[in-house]
Amino acid sequence: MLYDELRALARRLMESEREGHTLTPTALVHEAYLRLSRERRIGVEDRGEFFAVAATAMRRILVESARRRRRVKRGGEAERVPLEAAEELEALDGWLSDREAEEILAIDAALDRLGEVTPRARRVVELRVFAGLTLDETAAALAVNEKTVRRDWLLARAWLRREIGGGELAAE
Amino acid sequence: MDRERWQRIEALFADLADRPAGERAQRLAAAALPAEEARGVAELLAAHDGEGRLAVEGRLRDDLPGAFVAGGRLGPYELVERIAVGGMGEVWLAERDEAGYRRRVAVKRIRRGLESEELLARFRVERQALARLAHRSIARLLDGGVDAEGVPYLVLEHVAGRPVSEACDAARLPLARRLELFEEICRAVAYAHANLVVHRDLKPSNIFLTEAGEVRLLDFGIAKILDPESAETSQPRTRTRQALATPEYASPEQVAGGVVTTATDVHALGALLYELATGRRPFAEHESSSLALARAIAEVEPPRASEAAARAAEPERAARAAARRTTPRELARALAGDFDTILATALAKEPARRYPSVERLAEDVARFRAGHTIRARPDSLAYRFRKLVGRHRAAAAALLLALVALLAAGVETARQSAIAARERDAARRERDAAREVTEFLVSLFEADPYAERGRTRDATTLGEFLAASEEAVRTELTDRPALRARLLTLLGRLHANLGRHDPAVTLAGEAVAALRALPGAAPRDLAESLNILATALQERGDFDAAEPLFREALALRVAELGELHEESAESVNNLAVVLSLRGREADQDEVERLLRRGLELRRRLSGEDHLDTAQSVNNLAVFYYQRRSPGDLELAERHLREALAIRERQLGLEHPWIANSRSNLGNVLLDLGRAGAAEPLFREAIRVWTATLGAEHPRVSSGLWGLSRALEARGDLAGALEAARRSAAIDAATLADAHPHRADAAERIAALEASLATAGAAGSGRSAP
Repeated sequence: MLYDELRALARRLMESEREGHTLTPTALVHEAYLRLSRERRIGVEDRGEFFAVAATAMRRILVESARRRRRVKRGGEAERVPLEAAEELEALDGWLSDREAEEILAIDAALDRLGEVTPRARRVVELRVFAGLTLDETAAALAVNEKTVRRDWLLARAWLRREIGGGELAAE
Repeated sequence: MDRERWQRIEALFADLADRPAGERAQRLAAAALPAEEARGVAELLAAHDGEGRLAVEGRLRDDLPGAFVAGGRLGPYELVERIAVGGMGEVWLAERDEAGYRRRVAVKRIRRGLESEELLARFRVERQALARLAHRSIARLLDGGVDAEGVPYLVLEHVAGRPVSEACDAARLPLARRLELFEEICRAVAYAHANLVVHRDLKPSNIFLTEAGEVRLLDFGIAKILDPESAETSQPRTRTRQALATPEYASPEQVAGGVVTTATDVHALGALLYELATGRRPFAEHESSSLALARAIAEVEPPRASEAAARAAEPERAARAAARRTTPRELARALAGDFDTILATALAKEPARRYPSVERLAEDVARFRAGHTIRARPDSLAYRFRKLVGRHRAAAAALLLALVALLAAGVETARQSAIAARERDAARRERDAAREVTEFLVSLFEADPYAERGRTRDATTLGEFLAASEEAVRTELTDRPALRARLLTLLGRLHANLGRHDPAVTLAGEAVAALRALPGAAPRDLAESLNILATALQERGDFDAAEPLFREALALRVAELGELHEESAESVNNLAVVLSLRGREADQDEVERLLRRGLELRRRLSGEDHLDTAQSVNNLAVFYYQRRSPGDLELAERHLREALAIRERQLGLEHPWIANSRSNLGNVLLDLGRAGAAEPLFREAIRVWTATLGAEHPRVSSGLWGLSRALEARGDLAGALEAARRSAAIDAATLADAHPHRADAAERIAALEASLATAGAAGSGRSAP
């Protein structure tokens, strides 16, 4: 399952990380794609499909990682993630800043409301925010034109800013 | 949320987002939405303008606004569609209204999120380059500016057409017509050169053939402007490697990070000519990875164009010939001989051996096309010899350096005797010494049965080359004992470089004995032979025998050359290494003193950023690694990273010394408890050593040893055992039975087998119900 593979890959990459190089979620997704295609487990034609699935998996990983941080910060609530996964998530603690972690949780909570009225905009946010795709990559993954993606993104971005931006989150 | 209300908000927002404030207010009022919906739109617009911006947006690579989109505007131009995306920029087809008609242009700019100082500088160079070029075969610069975000863009003539190679095939142009077009391309490049612009990225996708059948050069994106005052060398060397855009058409100097000149464009044109004539790129068979390709460009001679045409697999062979309105046999016949010579000259590895200018290349192509004799000549015998040496990369540098040193030594001897003898006499002896060595080495090449025809030359191995050389030295040079000893030392050194220590010991030992017995032998020669002999003994594990030889070499060099000399510094280092390897407690203070002294000498002789300095830094790190006083491991890590950084800067892509640094770093990290970080370092070291030194080299064994330890630390016992066995197999073939590594390996294998058996038993126990 891609979720497990991405998480395990993230941990391996973090461990072998060289000085001065930070592994980002975007880099992780692209690295995973390269590896799977090198192993010929996916073909070029599956690229869009891969990123669509990867975005969902990354959403889960980032949300769990952000929750973990919050728990650790607040002095520990019972651990609900399986032990092995917890260790891997621990390796990712440095991924997000505190503010980003809070935003990820807020976006996760708000996103389904957006999806009710405009499902495609929700997919665009997942692909861009969680998998780090550019507009043209997003357009390719969703098999729609770039103009449409831009329009969805501008709307979703403004909506998310209004819903969760500023407000209770103090500036850094 | 109410879907209908939302859709009204959404539609109005989309319409207003890109408009200026005044227009927004007007249209919002005109839409006459219910107050709540109007407020919703206004809030979204405020957010769109930046209110409540989220931190996660900072991670996006194409953060809006300002990214190019179809329908967007840039100054007076409306963007229609994206034509190309490259590593640095994107190119858009755009239109502008001009006195009643739509003028089509190409707009090029740096991709959002990628603007760096370097890219911006390169963009300025492109603009500057194009501004000085007005030629009908070069796409014109029309305009330029900066967008709202401050990112510069260029507006260029839009060329409707397709890449020249593709267009030639589609139109089924015969060879002669292709050559005419090629000459036209050469004229445009020559014009750029005359205006001091080097393109550096010539390839079919940058050279279009228009529908009217004219050629156009595009994309001066990594062009370089030559400085007429201080010539090409004023450019920083590093820039070349960063600017390397298209490895398929790159030149050896671009791959190696060397100095780029107009000769670089000559090479690229040679590659283009090859492709236009044969339908195949010169290094097509090496394009599996960019690393393999880079190596091929630096080292491998491409197949002759005539062979490429004759030997391609069907149906490509027939299709390519058909696209030239001929048959494979006819095409091969047309290309054999002079055309092959033209390509060999244009594609020569050394820039100085290529056509001196693009005009000269074009002239020869025109002569060939007209059936006249070409000017370029096939390679000379002496040059082919150097190429043979060049192919054996691990030993090539050593051999060439040694050859130069031999010649210099001959000259030196002659110069000294000139004090006493007549000048005329001295000049003759200088010439004789140089010629003697050269002819001797060239004769080795001629005796090589495989070197006659180009195609089978790779069958010859360096081992055969060395064996033939040795026999020749022994039988031919009995009356020249000093030269004979120097060459025996040289051969010993080449064997040592290949990890063959037994022949190295024999050859260098023979040289030492000969020089000791020879009255008037140069102390410097003796020191060199001692040094090679001791190195080979040390590699075999015979540290006690090596130590006094290293000491003697050091004393000879210091007495002859002074301490502040590269050879003396080398000896200081070598003595420290052998003492360190022997590992006696009583020697350790001397080891540290020697290593620090060696490092100091090398810093003074060669500076901080030099390979000799890196070697000393590395050895000091190894010393700390072995000493293990508190903090020593961290100190070792820091030194090793410093040595690695110098080597990566100085040696480029891959080199056995870089592998040494990685493997050493792997060992230190392993002992610091970071097995996960160590494992890839060992794997990379093994890969590079195998590729450069061969699979049976002792260095490969030491890399496998490290890998085995790392895998064990990570719990992969089976992998660890396998690596240990492979390591032991190499040791058995290269090391004496008494070498300590042999016993260590046997012990390690036994221990791993035992652990694996235990783990296996425990594993099956656990899986039982």
